[in-house]
Amino acid sequence: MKKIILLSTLILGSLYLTSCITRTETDIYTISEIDTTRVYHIRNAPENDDRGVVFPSSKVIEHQRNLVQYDSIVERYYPNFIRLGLFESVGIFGGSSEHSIGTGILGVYPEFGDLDQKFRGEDGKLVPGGIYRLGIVEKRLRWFRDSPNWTIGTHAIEAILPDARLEKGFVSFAPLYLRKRWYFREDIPYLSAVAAFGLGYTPSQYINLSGAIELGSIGGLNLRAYVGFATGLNLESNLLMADNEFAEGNTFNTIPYAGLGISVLDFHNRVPETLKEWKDHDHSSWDIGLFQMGLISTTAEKSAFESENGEEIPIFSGWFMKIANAKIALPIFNYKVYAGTSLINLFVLGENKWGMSVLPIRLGYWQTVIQDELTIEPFAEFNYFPTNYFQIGTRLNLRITEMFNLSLEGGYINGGNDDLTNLFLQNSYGINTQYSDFYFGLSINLLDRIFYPEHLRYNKK
Amino acid sequence: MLNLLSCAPDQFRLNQMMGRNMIGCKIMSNIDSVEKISDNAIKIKSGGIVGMKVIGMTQHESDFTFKLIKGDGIKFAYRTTVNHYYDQSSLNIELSQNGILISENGQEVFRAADIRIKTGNKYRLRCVNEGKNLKVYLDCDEITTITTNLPATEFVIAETHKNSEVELEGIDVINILE
Repeated sequence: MKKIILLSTLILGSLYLTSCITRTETDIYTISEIDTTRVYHIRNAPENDDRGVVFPSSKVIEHQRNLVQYDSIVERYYPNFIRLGLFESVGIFGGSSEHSIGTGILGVYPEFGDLDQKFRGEDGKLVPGGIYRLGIVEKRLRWFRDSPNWTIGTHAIEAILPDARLEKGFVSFAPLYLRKRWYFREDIPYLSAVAAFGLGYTPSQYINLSGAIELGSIGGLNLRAYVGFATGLNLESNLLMADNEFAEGNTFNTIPYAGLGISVLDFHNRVPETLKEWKDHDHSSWDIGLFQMGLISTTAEKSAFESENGEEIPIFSGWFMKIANAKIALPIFNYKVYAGTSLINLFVLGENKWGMSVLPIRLGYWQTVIQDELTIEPFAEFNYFPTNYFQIGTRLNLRITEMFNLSLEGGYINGGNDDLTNLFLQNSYGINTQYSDFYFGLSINLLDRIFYPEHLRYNKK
Repeated sequence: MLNLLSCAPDQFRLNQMMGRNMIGCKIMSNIDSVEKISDNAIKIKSGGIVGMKVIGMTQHESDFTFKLIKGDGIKFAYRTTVNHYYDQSSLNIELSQNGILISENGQEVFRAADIRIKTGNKYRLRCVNEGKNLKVYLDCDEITTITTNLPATEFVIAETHKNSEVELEGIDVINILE
């Protein structure tokens, strides 16, 4: 029964999300064509006598008038959201510094060695807590006699954690949010002030009042500065409390907070953009995507795919994965130079040679080789957390569909010597040693859209 | 829930109760400039524009009883669409205190200066939009038949003249192919 409910929820959620993304409008034009056919029949009498004027002519004219109608159906597709995002994180001050969660200034730099269910935080960290949101939707709300820039929205899941003690935070599925924005800058990237009222109801019951300054979106990236106040209740029976030995009875929490945040694959439209068809939409990036995964052949001595009895998969000895990627065009060399990042980068060259990175800094040069199909991008990437490595390489991208691409990638990586206990990469591929290797491989890119020069807003008149 | 709460106040429906063809309406001006006053009646205030359509019905007879409450008159646009209304070609019927003017893409095709619309009086406008023809009836009189090459669309767009206010009632759109 639970599986059926879960499946139904997923199907309904997917349907809702699809309707959230695009609004379709259809116009029908009926074209009428009138065709007149005239047929002349002259049936002469056999003897062809001259019958004089008193007899009728044998000529008969037959008129046939046909009306042919056919419909021409035009469908137009518009964005149907003010905000649609994958992930947002905020590093917040407001919780106990003795129990700091330690996820850094933007809330996305966790100490992977501490990621444990029993982790209760520690002293000495800069930022004690974080706010995390997954699956963000905001739609236009037209109330108060069409007062501008109101939205109503939700998040698939939201967690407000002032510090590492779960019972002191709030978690809610699909909290309801009302937001009002005031725009200081109405060009991309937008700069706006946002006031928000949120209501979480399960498993925690809370309200969240916040104000924020938002910069974005560009390439799905946003920066936010928050100040807010959340207050509510964690019932003894809820998920956060059920297996929590530190929680006693119902807990009433009040969380004043302030912090800085970032969101990825988080797209923000103003109302005029929702009235502009998708095909005319403004884009600022060369590539935006959810998921890139590649298999690579490397110069590492020992393959990452070695089995216990020493057998290795031929050709490929490592892999990489990049999640939530953006490559934003910069106004250099006709916008061909880009700056990019990913939410998470994973790189495994071989045994004891791997890297993991959050929000790396990527610079590259984007060149379209064949319009609509082939692009090449030499790039350099600096990865600084939690492991340090530097990468230079070149990708050759082949667009298969609008949301699916293949790439060939080759390059050089230098880094290593990072000790990250508890990180799954260390558990699987051993302690990280110094490495300096070349690689070459094939990558598949899912839900990844490549843009061409005519798509970029800078190239539109 | 989000869809319900974020429903569009610029859209409404007519003829939901009476077993007639349901008419979808979209306010194309300030949302306060058009007011639904009953299931098949609306009031269009100064500067108000409303697009009406029965989904999929391009060959239709549209029927309006209208009353000029104040101002000069009203314009009905046929063979056009709500999308990019001002850039589209259209067949316009203007009923005002200066008479009736029918124009295609701004070019006059018919004028009857002696049929003037008076404030406070009710008039019935029927337009039979079929094939290449648009027949116009006012009250019991057939005013004219216009032949046009514009493709027929589902829309009838009503727009008041400047500083005019008009009440439309008994709004009905009938499929003439049935």
